[in-house]
Amino acid sequence: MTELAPAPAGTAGSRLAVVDQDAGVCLCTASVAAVHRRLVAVRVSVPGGPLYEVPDRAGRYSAAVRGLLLDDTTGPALVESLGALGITPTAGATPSAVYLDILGPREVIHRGLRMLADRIGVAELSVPAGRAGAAAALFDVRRRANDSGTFAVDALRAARAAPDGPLARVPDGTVETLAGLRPAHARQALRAIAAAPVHVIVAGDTATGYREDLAGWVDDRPAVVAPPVVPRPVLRAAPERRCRLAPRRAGQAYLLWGTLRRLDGVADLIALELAVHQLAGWTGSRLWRVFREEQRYTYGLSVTVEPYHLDGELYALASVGMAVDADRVSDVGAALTDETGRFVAELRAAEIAAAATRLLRAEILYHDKTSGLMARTARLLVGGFPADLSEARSRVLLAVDPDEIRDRMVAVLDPTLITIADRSAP
Amino acid sequence: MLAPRERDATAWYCTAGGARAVVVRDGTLPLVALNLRIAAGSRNDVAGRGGTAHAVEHLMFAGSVRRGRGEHLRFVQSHGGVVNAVTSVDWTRFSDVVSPSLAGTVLRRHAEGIAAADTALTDANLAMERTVLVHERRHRVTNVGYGDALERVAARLYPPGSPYGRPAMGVEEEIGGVSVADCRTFLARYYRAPRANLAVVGDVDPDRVADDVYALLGAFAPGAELVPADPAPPRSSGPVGRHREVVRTSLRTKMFLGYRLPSESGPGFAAARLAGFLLGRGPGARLVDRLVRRGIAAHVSVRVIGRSGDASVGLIEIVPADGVSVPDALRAVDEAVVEPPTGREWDRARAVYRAAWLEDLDSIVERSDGLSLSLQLHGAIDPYRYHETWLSTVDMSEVVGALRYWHPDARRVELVYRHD
Repeated sequence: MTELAPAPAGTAGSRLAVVDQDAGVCLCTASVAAVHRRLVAVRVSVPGGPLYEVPDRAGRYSAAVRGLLLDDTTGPALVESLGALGITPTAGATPSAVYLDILGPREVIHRGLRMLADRIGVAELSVPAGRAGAAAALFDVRRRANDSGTFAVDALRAARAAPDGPLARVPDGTVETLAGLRPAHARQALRAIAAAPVHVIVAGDTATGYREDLAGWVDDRPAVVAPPVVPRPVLRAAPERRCRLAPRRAGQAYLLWGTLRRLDGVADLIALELAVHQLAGWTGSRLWRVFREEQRYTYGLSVTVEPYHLDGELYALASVGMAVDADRVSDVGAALTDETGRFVAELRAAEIAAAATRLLRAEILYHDKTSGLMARTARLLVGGFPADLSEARSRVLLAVDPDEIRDRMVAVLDPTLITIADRSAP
Repeated sequence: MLAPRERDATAWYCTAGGARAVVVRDGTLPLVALNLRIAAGSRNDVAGRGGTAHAVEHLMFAGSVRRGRGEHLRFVQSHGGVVNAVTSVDWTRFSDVVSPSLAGTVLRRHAEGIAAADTALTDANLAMERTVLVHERRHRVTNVGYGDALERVAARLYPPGSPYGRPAMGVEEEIGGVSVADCRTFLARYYRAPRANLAVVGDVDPDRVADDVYALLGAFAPGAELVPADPAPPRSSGPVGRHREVVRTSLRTKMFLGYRLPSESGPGFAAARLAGFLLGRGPGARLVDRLVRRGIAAHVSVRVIGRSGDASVGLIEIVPADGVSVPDALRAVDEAVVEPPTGREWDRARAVYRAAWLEDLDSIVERSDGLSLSLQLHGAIDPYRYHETWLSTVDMSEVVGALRYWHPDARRVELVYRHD
C-alpha cells in the first residue's frame, strides 16, 4: 500500500502584518497565492460590542453596523455604492466583537474598503438608518430562532453563562431588546465603534495598501482608548445540566449536547477540538457510529467549537447537535450521557494521534474559499491564537503528546459541566 | 480509449462507451477535488417510487463485496478529506476533496465501487438506509421552516404527472415502498457510461492520474444513448395564469412566487439568471430597494434553480413587513418587475454576478462542480470556461427580454405561508 503522507499545513500563511498601536489598528493578512484568486475578503472587526451592552439594549451594536450599510441620508447607501463595484457587504456580531465583511474582486477591494472606512469615520448614523439597522438585526434574530441548531446553541450559551455576563446574550440581541431599541442607541453605538480599536483581517491577494485605506477613519481621530473592561462573571457557578427549549414542531425534536467553559490556554482549546471531533465529528466517531449507524436515531450530527477571548481569558463553547424523532428523546438523551462517559473511559492515545492528524490535514480545506479563509482567520484571532495563527495551530497538532492531551481532553469533558438542551414537544 | 487532447493545464478524456472526464491542473493549494456526476436523478424515479434515485445514492456507501459499510467515508475523512453526495432532479453527484497524494487512490476506489455497486443493493442495506432517508427528509424538509416551499411550488409549476413536480428525495410514504428491485433497475439503467461525467481539479498531474481516470470511466458499462432513455416528461407551458396555495404556519407570513425559466441546458438560461440578480441578488437589487427599503417587506430574495430536462425555476421569496398585507406585497413586486433596467441597475447586476462567478472560480471545489455540470449539460467545458466572456459581452436587451419570465402576466405559482 502506498505510503500516504499527510498534507502539509498549507502554502497559505497568516500573519499579523502591521500593528499601528497609535491609531488603534491591527492588520492581519491571510495570504493565498495570487494565481487564480481574484477575490479578496476583508473583515473589519471592532472588539467589544455586545461585551459593553446593558441587557435591555442588547443588539445596539449589531443594529449600528447594519444601519451603517443602509444609511442613505447624505448620499447613496453604502450597500448600493459597494454593490456597484460588485462588492457584497455583510454585518454582524459575535459575543466579543462587531464586524463588517466585504468580499469583492481584487481590482476594486481597496476602493470598497476606503468607502467603508470613510463612512465609519464620519461616526454618524441617521435616525432612519438606526431604525433600519434594528429591523435588519431583528429579522436575523427571528430567523435564528427558526433554526433548531442555532437556537439550541444560543440556548446552551445562555444556560451556562452568568445571567448578566457577556456570553449569556445572543450577540444580535433578542426580539424584545431590538423591538425596544431607539435609533439613538444605535447612533451611540456607532460613535463608540468609530472611536474603538479595530482589527482588519484580509484574505486573498494581500498586497499592501490596506492600512492606507483606513486613513479616513483612523488617522487624526483622538487617541484610541480601549473601552473599559467591565468585570463581571462570565460563567454560572452552578450551570444547568438540562434545559428545555420552546418546542417548534412535534414531528422531530432537536438535542444538543455541549459545554461552555474557561480554558487554560491554546492547548486546552486543541484538546477540546480533538475531544469533540473524536466523539462526534466524523463518520468514524463514536456518536456517529452508535447514533446513526447502529441505533439510527438521526440522519447526521453537527459539531461546533467556538472560542472567545474575554478579559484576557480564553473560553470555548463546544456542542454536538442532532435531530431525532420526538418519541426517542428520552432514549437519545440517556444515550448521550452514557456514550460520552464510555468515550472518556476508553479513549486511547493512538486514537488521539489519528484525530490530530485528521484535523491537521483538514486545515487546508479552509483555504479553498477566500471568504472561508477570512472567517477562519478572524475566528482564530478572536480565539486568542498567537500571531501566526493557523501555522501555530498546525504546529500544536503536529507536536501533540497523546498522553498529555488525553488528560486535557478528559478534563474538558467534565460531566458536571455538560448541558443537554432539548427542543421537543412537552 | 481516446488520448487526452490537451496535456498542459487541462486534459480531456472520453471512453468509447461515452463516459467523459476533464482534469484541470491547479497548483494553488495542495488539494484535489473530484466530482462525479451521473445524469440521472429523481426525474428518473418511477412514479409512486419516489426516492429511488436517492436510495441508490445512499446505497453506494452502504457496503459491498469490496468494502464495508461507510468505509469509503471513513477512509477519506481519516486522511483529512471530505466526502459528499447529493441527489437532485436531473443528476446525482458524488464528490471528494482530498490531498494530492490520494487522488489516484480515490479514483480507483470509486472505480471499484461502481463495479461492485450491485452487491451493495441488498435488503439489509436498504432496510437500514430507509430509516436514514426518512430522517434526512424530516431534517431537511419537513421540520424546517418553509422547508417544503420548493416542492409545493414545483408541484404546481409543472404539469400533472411531470417528474419535475415530484420531491427529489421522495416522500416518506413512498420511500418505504422502494424495493431492492427498484434500486437494481435504476442502477442498471442509469449508472451507465453515457451518463457519467467526471471533473478533477487541483494539484494533480493529468498524466499521472490518466490510468486512474480511465479506470473509473471504464467501470461504467456502455449503455443506450442518453436520449431517449429518459422518460419523456409531459411537456406543456405549465399552469395557465396564476395558481395560489395558502398554507397555515406558526411562523411569520412568507410568500414564494415561482416562475418558469428557460432550461438550464438551453439558450436564455444565463440571461434569465442575470435578470434574477438584477431583481433580487444583494442589498442594492431592485426588489430589495423597492420593497425592503420602503418598508413593504422585511426580506426579499431571488433564486434561480436550474433544471435541464424541462423549465428551470425562478423563485422570489418575500417576507411582508409587519402590517403589510399579502396583496399589497404582491402588488409591489408586480410593479417593480415590469420596468426595464436602468443603467445603474444593469452595471450593478453584472458586477455582482461577476463577483459571484469569480467566487466560484476561485474555489477548487466549486470549479470541479461547475465543470462536471457543464459536461452533463453541454458535453463540453467551454460554456463554463468562457462564461465570463459571455458576461462581458451580453447586451442589456437580452436581460430585458429575460425579465418577461418574471413578468406579472407570466404564468406563476403563488405560495403563501400565512401566519395562523
